[in-house]
Amino acid sequence: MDRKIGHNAGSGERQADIAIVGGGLVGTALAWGCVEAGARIALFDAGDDRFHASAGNFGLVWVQGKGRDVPAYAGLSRRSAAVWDSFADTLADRTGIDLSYRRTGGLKIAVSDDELEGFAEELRRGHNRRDPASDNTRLIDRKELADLVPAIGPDVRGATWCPDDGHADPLATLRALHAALDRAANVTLIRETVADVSAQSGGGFELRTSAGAYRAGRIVLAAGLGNVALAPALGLQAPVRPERGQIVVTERCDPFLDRACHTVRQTADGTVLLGDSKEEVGFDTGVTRTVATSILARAARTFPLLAEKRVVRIWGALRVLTPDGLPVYESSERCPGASVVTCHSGVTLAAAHAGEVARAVLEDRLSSTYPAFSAARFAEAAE
Amino acid sequence: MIDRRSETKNAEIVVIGAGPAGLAAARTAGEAGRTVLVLDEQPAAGGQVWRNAAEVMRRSDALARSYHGAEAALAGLDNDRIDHRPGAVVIDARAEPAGATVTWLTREPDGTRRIEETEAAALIVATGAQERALAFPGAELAGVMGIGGVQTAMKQGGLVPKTPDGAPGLVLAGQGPLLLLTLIQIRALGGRVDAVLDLSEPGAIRRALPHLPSAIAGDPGLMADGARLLAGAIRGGTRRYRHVTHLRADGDDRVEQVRFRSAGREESLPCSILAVHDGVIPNTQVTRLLDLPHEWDEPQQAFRPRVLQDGRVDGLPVWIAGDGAGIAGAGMAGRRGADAGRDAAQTVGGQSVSARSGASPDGLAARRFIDTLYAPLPVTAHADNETLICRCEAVTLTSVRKAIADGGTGPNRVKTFTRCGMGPCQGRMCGNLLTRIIAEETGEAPDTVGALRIRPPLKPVLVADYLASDPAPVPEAVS
Amino acid sequence: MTWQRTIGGPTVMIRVDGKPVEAAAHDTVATALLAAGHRHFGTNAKTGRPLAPACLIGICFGCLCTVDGRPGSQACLEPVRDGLVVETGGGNE
Repeated sequence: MDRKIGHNAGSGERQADIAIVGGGLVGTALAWGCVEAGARIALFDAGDDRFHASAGNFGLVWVQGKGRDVPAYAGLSRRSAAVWDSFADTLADRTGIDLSYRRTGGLKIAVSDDELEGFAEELRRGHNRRDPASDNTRLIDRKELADLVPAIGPDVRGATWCPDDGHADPLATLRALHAALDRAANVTLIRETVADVSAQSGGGFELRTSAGAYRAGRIVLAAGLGNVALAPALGLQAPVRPERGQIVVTERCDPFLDRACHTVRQTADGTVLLGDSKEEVGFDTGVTRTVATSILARAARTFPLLAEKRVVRIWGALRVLTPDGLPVYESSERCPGASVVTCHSGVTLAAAHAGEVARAVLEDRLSSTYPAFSAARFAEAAE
Repeated sequence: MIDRRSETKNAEIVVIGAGPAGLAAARTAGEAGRTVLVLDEQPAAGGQVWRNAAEVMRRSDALARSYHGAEAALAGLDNDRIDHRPGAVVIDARAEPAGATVTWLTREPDGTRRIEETEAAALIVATGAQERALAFPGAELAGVMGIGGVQTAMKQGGLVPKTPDGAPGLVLAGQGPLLLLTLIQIRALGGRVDAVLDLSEPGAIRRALPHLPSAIAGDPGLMADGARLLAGAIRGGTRRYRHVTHLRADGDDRVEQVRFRSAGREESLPCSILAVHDGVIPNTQVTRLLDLPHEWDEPQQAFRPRVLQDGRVDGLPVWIAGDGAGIAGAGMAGRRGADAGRDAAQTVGGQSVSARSGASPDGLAARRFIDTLYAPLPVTAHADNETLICRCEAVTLTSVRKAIADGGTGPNRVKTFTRCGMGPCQGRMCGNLLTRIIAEETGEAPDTVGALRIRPPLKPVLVADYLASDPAPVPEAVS
Repeated sequence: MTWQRTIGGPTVMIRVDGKPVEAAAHDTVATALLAAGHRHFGTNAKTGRPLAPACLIGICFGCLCTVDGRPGSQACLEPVRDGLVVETGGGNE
């Protein structure tokens, strides 16, 4: 197929060391990490996919509350957040694209006393379970919060606050990763949907697309919800399901919210993202007025100035969720060289995916490095 | 007509749009015994062609000539079964095999707004056409308009461009019958056109000639109208520049002059308004929001929803009537609307009603001739690297091309990469350009490239309007 | 003035940026502003540059201004009525 997209595309290359399936934040971050470490990779990217979780991402680089019951997840999230600025700097350096990452600290804002008490209780439970020193999330009262964010409304009671949280532009991040891969020498970008995959008898893997078959020595499935169909052929499991989150975006506003906040984010452009609804509706990216209105009600109660702003767009994005919400990082026992990487925190974990996780993939030690993220945990739970 | 306060929320058929197609659809369905709710965002029924009909027909002979059939069509609303809501801005619509849900913003007499929603057994989308955007440097400047906008100013406000002698006035640039009609009407109303820049491509007439005999044979009336337009336009003696390339509007805060090349010479003309036109395309905001299948209309260089006979959408109780289903003009729109209304009424009511009009979307005999004569300009014909493709977000042609090179293989990814189409107009002005540019850059067919996804609300809505219409409990915070 | 009114009829009074403006009863806010010689409506939120209507039929969003206290109203879709209050982005002096 004759395509003019990028100098790496259409080069006729049909062999690679590692094939990475998925052009979203997870696949591109892994691919870039592998390329930086010197591997020759082929990235399969289905392109303008409506079920793309990356395009619906809120953009939080968020550690507070993550993995309260699972130290391995808390650790991974914190390690990723810790290297996010160097990840963003390197990408900006390579591509000229600003990821707008800032470690502003993050707030989970309570709009009633009961809510604040609930947050406090969660914090106490977490601190009891782990070394409080490793979790610097703390409760702040209304006064301290008002110093950080003067725009809060009269109903706001306080918040939990973690200085390690931050936010970035997920769309710029995705674009920068694509641009970096496009500029790299040892990458083949294949703008095709992978229909199926198989392990070859003599070793290696074959990936079939409508534009023909490709071969690779190793394969990583990073196609989000698309992993479900591909994984079994490689002796892997990707027990993920879509969970819809509706996101509302407003017109540009004057800057009022610099901090990361779990349901409201003001972007570098001034537009405001509102969200964090959760619905089990399958592959339905639609929106409902009931949910949108409740999102808006909470937002306007938190920041009254939003009532006079206009909603420009509402969309439903599909999170990629495992039964326990934690990642699956696993190498195949049946088909050595095949692995699966899936998570629902594509932005927070992007820096880790481009760093330590990519190195684990290259050294073929995904399962041994991340035993807590084996899909086997679900089989055990079912027994 | 039913009082707007008496709730007809359970109308069997919802019609969006009250132009020639929507009016005919509502009338036909109403006469067939069905209850119909007509939602139209304009202040009065008539659509763009019959805008402000009562006033225009009473007061302006020059404009009233384009209002043939308006009176009868508007009288069709006078039916107890039809509830017409002007100023109703549709913000969301969904369709399933069992029916459709439509959400809109009302405008109360006191100026306040309320969100309303209804379910109906059938939905007829008659949202008409919009002008095809033309990308050229300075197109975003205040004072640069569509020629359709000049039409609206004339019809709605009785306004014509007329500056004092010696002061810069109106320059028209583009191609197509609407340009000629506008030129004649402005002069008839005593206005002034300083110059006409003909953007049609050399050779278009030669290419169109083979289709002329069948056009005259099939549509003698329309072709005669066209000939009169052409003769009238030439007779007026307005300065005309042919084979115009490199169109550019210059100015600081608004357009001050237009620059271009004609016959190999660089020209510049001072102007206070530059009105451009490159034909019209279907307005697909509602049909895209409904996620209906669309197909690329190559001669028209635009998407249109894919419909079966009578404008029916396969598998859904949805009909598309008029230019929104593919450009065929106001005359055809009425017939297509009537067919859609009849078929919808029959589907909803379960009984057979009167015969079809015999119209089909391709029924216009002169279409080939007109499409060839006024073939849309290539998408970047007048654009340079810094030309804005998305005016709202100030996204240039170069940025769009870079985003495509960075893996923006479809409009939605280019949108996320550049914000092209994310501004207040929600892609209305840039969507068609974006698909065509990506097709040009990648060599893919526009059907493969696809179009911007359209999300609710179709028009921006104040947060306060959502809250006032549906006070919802504050949900529990989630981590 | 660029636009001249050629069709007569009843009028209403609206206020634009604090000043009384006579409008035709059948005007939209947009045509009333054009007739009154307003060259600019709102400003582009991204670039800050002045805007004016291009389509007058609800497509281009070049006519956004504040109508009866509602920011971001499409002036081309708002019918005028006596006492209506309009605020533009300025720049019309």
